[in-house]
Amino acid sequence: MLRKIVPLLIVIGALLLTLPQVTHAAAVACAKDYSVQADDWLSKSSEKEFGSTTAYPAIALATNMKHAEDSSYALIVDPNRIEVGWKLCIPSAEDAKTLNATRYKILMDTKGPGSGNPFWRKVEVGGDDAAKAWGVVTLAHQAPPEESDVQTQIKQLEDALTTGTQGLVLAATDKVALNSTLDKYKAANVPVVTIDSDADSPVKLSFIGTDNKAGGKLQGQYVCKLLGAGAKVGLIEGNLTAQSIADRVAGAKEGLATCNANVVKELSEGTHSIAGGQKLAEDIMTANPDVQALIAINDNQALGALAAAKAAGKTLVIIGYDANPDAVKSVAEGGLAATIAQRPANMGIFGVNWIMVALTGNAKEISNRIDTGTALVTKENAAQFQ
Amino acid sequence: MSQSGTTPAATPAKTAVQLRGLGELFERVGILIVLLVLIALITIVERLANGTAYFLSIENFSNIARQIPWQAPLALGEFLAILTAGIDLSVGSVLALAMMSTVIAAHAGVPAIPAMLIGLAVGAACGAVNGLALTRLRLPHPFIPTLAMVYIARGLTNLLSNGTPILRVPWEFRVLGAGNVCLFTFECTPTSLRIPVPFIVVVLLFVGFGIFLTRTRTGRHIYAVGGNPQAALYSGINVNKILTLVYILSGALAAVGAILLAGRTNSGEPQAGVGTELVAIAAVIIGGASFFGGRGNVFGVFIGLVIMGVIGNGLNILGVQPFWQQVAIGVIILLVATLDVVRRRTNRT
Repeated sequence: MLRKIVPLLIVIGALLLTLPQVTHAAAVACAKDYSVQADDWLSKSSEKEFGSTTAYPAIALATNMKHAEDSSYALIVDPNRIEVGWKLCIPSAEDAKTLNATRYKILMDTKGPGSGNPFWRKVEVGGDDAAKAWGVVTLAHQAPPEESDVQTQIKQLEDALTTGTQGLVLAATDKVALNSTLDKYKAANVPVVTIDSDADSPVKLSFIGTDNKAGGKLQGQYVCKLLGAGAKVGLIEGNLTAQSIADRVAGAKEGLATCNANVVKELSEGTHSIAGGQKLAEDIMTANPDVQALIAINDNQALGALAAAKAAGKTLVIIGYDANPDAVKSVAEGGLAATIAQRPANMGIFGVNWIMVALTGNAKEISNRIDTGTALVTKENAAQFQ
Repeated sequence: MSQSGTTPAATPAKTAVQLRGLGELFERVGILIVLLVLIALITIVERLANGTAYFLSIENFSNIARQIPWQAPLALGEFLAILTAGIDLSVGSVLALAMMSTVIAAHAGVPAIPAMLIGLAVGAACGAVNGLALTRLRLPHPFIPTLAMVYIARGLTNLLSNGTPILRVPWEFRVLGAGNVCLFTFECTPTSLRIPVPFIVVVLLFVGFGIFLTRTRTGRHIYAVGGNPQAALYSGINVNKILTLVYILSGALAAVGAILLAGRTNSGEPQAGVGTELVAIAAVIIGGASFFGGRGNVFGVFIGLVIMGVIGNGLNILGVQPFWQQVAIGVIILLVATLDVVRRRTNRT
């Protein structure tokens, strides 16, 4: 009896081992090749080849899978963007049907929207747009109820793995605490990219996000520009164990150092909220009545600081970070002096796009650091960020 | 107030004025001494370490008077729960839900006063759920229903707001939460002494509840239920009714805090009140209430709250590094509570 079962188990085991390869890098055959012309869209080719504009995902998937074995084929990162001269792989109508019927289950685990920050809404919307563009992605959204709730995020990630998630786009609540969880993703051969807040893990293929230090530096330099050398500045900080926050603060100090500005006080609070920023601003203004500028790590805190300054009858240079709608409006109205715009939608879009690049067999093509860009928003250019 | 340390239900109100000696006097003002020592300590350290005197200034005291009020109703609600030997973990989350409901109502065009009433109703409803779950479902301890409410109310808040803050509230909120009354001058000038309106609201609230707890039948029943539920039951008090009332009041008080905070921050914030239940509990315990119920008074709670406010503000003014602040707050809570225990033990002998 036992002798019969053991070989059977071995055969089943061997079959199981081949499964991931089957789903990830199915050998794809091109019915024909196509070279991209001017004014081409994937949907245009799709209509020509398959009689429907919505069958285009198959072309993108087939081209990328082909690229993995033959780099003369193009690598499509964003299905909305193809360039003249790219070589596309057009699968047979039958293969196209199979490719289009495949579902790629991707989880986007961010730090909102429970964190009370509209920023995360934009990240999620960006992710949804990218998922829609790929046509074959089922994108799930999750987030711990608070930005610092590491344990809940770990639980969400582990649960997602058991329910068959194939790719992870992650905004890490902590630099290192998620590492052993991410190791499980590695073991399951599920690709991971981090967005906005990095995890210090070799598992992730790329960190896609704002260079927070560069943004912080813009804050500091703008204070220098407005107030000149020796400006007296208070820093309103947040949860410093998060890499993104620590980078912002370090960047702001670097920017302030360019004009020898004085950091007269640094205070921090973990809720990153309007109420939190307001209280710290009150305390800074009391302890340092000569303070001229306040730099906050996000817009909620900056708006709170602005309310505190108004109540105290003071006009301070207050600079936020994130370019949330309310903050940009305040900048335009002359309330906040400036805020830093990130491209949160880009984080969502890039996150999903690069995971799809990995899932079509091209993980090695992914750069380990992808910048989504920062910009200083002042009264002069606020209109274009509203 | 007049009857700290004893069960008001057991002592006729009139005899309270008589002091039973120095010990009782000390017990009444002891918590005040702790506060004064704390203030003196921070002032001295600031003078020695930084060479400044910002902490002990009129501006800073009106500063603290603006920072405390929104937490005060929560501490009061927490006090009612602890008075009945219970606890209300949900005050912070209920504050957020009430804040979001009232601000959303105001943005939808509901006039300010009805919008505030909506907030109060939401708070009271959460409290009612807590109270009824405790008394009707017979859950073993208020810890359980209020713990559940922590998540329910916070989740509903996020659902209502989609997780994003809503800016701007009607001026009536602003007056309540951020207005000032200037003393000695008809119009406010930069030099006039400002008393924050929310501080006045809170003082009135505490005086009102002080009178309610010690001078009305229902108020004394609350003490009795906490002091000895069996005895209370045998003496004909409807214990379940009193308990439900206590949690409804706690919920409604959290909503009062929500209205003050909405006015202060000019917004509705889904993150508001995270961790505030711990501040409230700390204030109540520092203020001399007993976890076993039946002991404590609103004056003590108020001073407990001021102590918590002074600690946070003082450490900020001193510029203590943020991570050390967390440690310091914990140590100070431990010290003050220990001091209170020692004080009571000496009184008894």
